[in-house]
Amino acid sequence: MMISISILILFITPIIILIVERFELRAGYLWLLAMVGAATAWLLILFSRSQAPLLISLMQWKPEALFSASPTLLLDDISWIFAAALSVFPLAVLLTDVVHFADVDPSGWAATLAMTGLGLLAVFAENPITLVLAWAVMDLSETLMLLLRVSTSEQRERVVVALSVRLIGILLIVIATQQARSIGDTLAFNSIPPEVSGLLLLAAGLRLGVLPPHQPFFQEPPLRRGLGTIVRLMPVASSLVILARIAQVGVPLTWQPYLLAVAVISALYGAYAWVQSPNELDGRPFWILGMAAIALVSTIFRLPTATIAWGLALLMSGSVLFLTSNRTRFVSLLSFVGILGASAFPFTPAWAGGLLYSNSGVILMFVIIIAHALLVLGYVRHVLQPSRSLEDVEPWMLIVYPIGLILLMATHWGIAWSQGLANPPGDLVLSFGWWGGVIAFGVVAILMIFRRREISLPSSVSTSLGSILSPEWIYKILWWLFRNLSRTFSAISQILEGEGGILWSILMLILLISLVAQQSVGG
Amino acid sequence: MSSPFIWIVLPGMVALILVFLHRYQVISSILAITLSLTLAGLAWMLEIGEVITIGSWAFIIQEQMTILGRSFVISNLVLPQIAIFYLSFTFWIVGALVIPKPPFFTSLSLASVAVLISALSVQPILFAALLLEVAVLIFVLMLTPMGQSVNRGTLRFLTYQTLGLPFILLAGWFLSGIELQAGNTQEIVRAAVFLGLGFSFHLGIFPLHSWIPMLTETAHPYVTSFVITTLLSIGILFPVGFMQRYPSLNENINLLEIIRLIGVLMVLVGGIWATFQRNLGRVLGFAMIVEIGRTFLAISIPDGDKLLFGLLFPRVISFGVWALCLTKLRAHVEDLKFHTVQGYGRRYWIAGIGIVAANFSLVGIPILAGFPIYSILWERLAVNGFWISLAAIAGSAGLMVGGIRALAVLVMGPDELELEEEQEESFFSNMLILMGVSVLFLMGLFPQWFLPALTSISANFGAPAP
Repeated sequence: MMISISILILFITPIIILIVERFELRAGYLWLLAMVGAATAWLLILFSRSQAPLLISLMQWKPEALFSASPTLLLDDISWIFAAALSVFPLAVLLTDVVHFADVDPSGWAATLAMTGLGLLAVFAENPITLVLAWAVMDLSETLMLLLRVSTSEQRERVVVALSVRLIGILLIVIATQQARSIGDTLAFNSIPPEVSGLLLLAAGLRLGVLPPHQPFFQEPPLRRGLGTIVRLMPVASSLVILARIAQVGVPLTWQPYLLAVAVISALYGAYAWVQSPNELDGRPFWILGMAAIALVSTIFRLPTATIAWGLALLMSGSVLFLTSNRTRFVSLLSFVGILGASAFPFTPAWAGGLLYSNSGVILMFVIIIAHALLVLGYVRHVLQPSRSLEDVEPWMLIVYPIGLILLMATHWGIAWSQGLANPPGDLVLSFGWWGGVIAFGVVAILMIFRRREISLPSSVSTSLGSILSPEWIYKILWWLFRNLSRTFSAISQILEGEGGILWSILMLILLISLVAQQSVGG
Repeated sequence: MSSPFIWIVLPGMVALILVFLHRYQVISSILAITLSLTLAGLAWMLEIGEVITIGSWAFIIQEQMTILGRSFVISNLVLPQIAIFYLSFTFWIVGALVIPKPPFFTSLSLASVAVLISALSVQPILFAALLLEVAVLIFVLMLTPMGQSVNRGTLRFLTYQTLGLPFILLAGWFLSGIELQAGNTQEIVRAAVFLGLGFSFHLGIFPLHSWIPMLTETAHPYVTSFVITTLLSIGILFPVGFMQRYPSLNENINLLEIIRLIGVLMVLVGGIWATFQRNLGRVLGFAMIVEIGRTFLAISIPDGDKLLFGLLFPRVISFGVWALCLTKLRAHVEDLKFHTVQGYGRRYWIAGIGIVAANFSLVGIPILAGFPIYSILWERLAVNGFWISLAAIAGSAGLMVGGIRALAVLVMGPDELELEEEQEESFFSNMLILMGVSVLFLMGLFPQWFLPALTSISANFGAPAP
């Protein structure tokens, strides 16, 4: 009940904001209204933990004899963790947005709340129908929102590409559902048949941009920092929760080597591009790619706790950085605490992520440590970059602004500690599981020393590395294939629709009939 | 009074009157809407064979009417179907109110529905072929407004429909024989083969599908969509009725397997070709081919005929909205080629939303009308074999690529092509498109509101097996 009410609040509050905005009420009241809605939803989600496990039917699709499932929510350990993480986002966005009060945007606040509501629906999805419904609403709203705000043809093209990738992800979930039906099962996320987990992983991986590695947005769309973060992270969270569920059953053995290869390339590519990015917002897609790829590798190794730990680090540590628009010394300090959340250091929230280090082979572990180190290095680099100060804002803003960031971190650490993500990843104190994060930090330290002494890869090597890791060549091949197939099908159409088309059609029909007759009558 | 008089003769007569009222488009449309809604309502409420009392006047509606020795039978069993057909027709006429259309569209479309219903209800079935041809000729008149030359799409349509006529006639001839000598399996198989060939031409079964994209490319989008969806929705009942009358057919020639193969072929052909199109009209045409395939897939599964009418509403509304938007766009551009309409989705953004929403609904994207019923279909197919279901989804994926490319074309293009002419868009057509899109979303989210009624309608139109 609590989760239904919280989701409802996240949908109703934006409507009220948009209505009240028309009466030209002071922006402060609208902000307060949004804050009340966001805070209530957050608290309800936090307290709903005691009700788990719980199934909530949203509606019954009829005729029941024809539908094998209807939209239903599932509150369990996994969904609660991600929901608790997501529900703090609107609060953090609203609180950090106060420093931009001169450039007030109530519709942005409304969108932030509504997108969070959709994210929660996806995270709580009990079955594929609920998930794809939530995904579709989220994708279509995001596309519409972006198309209304971008201004160049190239940006619009990227928005459409992003939509197409997401829709393919939806179709993959639909295919997985049918595969489960073909083996006499009904797909529900609390009992995923192992036969379909590969397809689900592909769907989630595709939406995360990991399988195959791709970046629909090479340049972040022109949204406000807060709303932009929500828009980018909600779909990610709803895919991460699927990864965590798949990790409970694992993926088919035959799929594993290929999935691992692609995921590792994605991790390296994402991490490398993140370090190279000019700032945290331009680099945001690569942070998501790199961290999600590491979470996906954990899924392949059937490590649900590690998957959740890396996933949470992606969302929470990432959002601390992405929501930090202005820095004082204190805010910079908070950002460094944010890095700790993704460090996999002992007793920090991502420590359980270290399970990946103790369960993968030496070579893979080495590669993952490099990717992890690059991600941390990029984070440090972006935190240390000069940014706007908080000198010209009102005194109350100086207090409210960091509270948003503190809430994010408190929620991250709170979830991790309460759900055992910060517990030791294994019994052996002297294992890579325990110290993987520290080793990664060691690599970061070495890389930073190199950077400080201006020792870096020659530009030609750096460019070649970028080209090798970049998946652009895959898309060039696909585009070539598409053009050639297009020509072929166009030629066939011309034949069938041309002067002699009727004769060609009849000839083809006779051939088909003879084939079918052989199969069905002649046998 | 008889039921064929109410649902065939009466609309036929009104259609004739509407021909003379063609100059008064709004009046004739309102008349047609009122009549079709009344006919749909009567079909929903009336009980054939029971005494009906209006004041002091009491009468019984007979289910049979004889004209020139031929019987037309409309029984209680098929009344829900009649209601759905006239309701669909109403939808098309309401849409036509706000777009430029051929002058005789209203009257001819009403006549075509009446003739198609008469083809379904005529006995002996031999005469159905002739009535179908009459309907086709009416369609040709609609597709070729007076004073204009016949376009190549319409010509191809007429050719294929007419080529199908002798096969259906032969099938009817065999069937008449069967009804005299019950249990002649060999004759039933022959009749099935001829009927299959005839309807392959009629419904554009691969490789006889070329007329569909040709028509949607060259002819009026709205009229074309009406013609094809009406032909499919009513025409498909002939083979379905035949299968229900002679269930032994499946034992003799694996009929369901053949129909499933046709369905898979159609869905794949439609989907693959939709992927590579460079014309918005042709994408619509290949979406229709996919939909024909889905209809065949539905009747290939046990109890699949229950899905036929479930498929009908999302289809009619999706194609209606899509065609409405294309017609609106077509009024402002020379043709519907991708390079011509580039960026026009920004200028006429409501039409752009309509095109994409309708396309995605026919793909089966969640939250749109097609999704609930397609997911039932895919699940049923998966139970029979995962690969068939996969092929059906692959067809949808192809259509989705077509839709994505259309969306890209509509929103990209020159940056200066902004919303400058937005005010020129007619208020009513925009409202209608937005209402259609809203219905697509409502049907996608709340299928429990309409599917139970639709899936309970019997697909059997004809007389019982001899």
